Amino acid sequence: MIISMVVGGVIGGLSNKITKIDLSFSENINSYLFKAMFVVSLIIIIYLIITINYIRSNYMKVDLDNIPKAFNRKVSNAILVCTIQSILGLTWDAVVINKGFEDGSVYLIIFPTIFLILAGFLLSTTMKYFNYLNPNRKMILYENGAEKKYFDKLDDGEKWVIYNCSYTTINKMQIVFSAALVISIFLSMFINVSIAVPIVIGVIWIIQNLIYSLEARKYEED
Amino acid sequence: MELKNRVKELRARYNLSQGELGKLADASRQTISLIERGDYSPSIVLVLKIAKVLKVSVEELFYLEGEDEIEDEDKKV
Repeated sequence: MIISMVVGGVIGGLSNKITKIDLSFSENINSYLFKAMFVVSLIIIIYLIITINYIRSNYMKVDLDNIPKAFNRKVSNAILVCTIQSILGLTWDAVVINKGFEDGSVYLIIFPTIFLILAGFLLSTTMKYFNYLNPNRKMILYENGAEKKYFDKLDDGEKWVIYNCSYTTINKMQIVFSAALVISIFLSMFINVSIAVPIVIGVIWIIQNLIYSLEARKYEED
Repeated sequence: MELKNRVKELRARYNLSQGELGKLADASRQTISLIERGDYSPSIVLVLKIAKVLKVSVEELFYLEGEDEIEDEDKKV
C-alpha cells in the first residue's frame, strides 16, 4: 500500500508536467464502449442459455446423494456468471444514463435493461435447479437476509470455505483498490478521468475497511 | 505438528462415497473431502460422528504427524 501511495504520488506530480494528449471520452469512445458492452453481454447470455439448457436437460437424472462435481460446478458457474451479467447490466445502465442525458440518447437504456432482466430471469431459473439439487439449503433470491439464512444452513466445513474465501477477498481487494487508484491517476494524464472515479474508489475502500472493523469489534466484547 | 487422518482409507473399507459418509455423519460431501485432503480440521462433534460411523476410536481416525515417532522414542527411554 505504501509503495502504491508513493508511486501514485510521483505519477500525480509528474502528470502536471506531461503535455496532455487529447484522448478524452469522445462520441467515438462512447460508441465503442456501448458496442463492446453489447457484444460481451450477448456472449454471456448465449453462454448462460446453453449452460442452463444443459442443466435443465440433466438435473432430473442426477443422483442427489452423489451429485457429480462437474455438474455442481456448472450450476455454481451459471449463478456466478448471471451475477456478473447483472452487475455489468447495472454498470452499463449507469453509463448510458450518465452520457445519455447530455446528448438525448437516454432511450438506449433499453438495451442494458433488457440484458439485466434476462440475467435476473436466468439467475432465478438457475436457483430453481440449485434448490432442487440442494433441498436442505435452498437459496431464495428475493427473501430478506437470504445470504445469512443460506450461510446458517451450511455445515462447519462449508463455513470454513466461506471464511477462507472472504478473508482472501478482503486481502486482495486492498491491492485492487490501491491499484485502481494508481491506474486512475495514471490515466488522468492522458484522458479526462472524472474526479468522481478516485473519490468513489476511495469511499468504497474506506467503507469496506469500516464494515470489516465494525464486524470484528462485535466479537471483541466480553 | 500437523493433524493427519485415515478417513479416506477407512471409508474405502466400508465402500462408502464421500457423500454417503457425509450423510451418515451429518456433514456435506465438501466437508468430508476437505477433511480427507487435510485442508480442514473438523470440530470435536464431527470427529466423534465420523468415528462412530466408521466404527473406530478417534485416535485411530485422527493423529498428529510425528506422534508415532515420539511414542517410539518414549518406549525406548
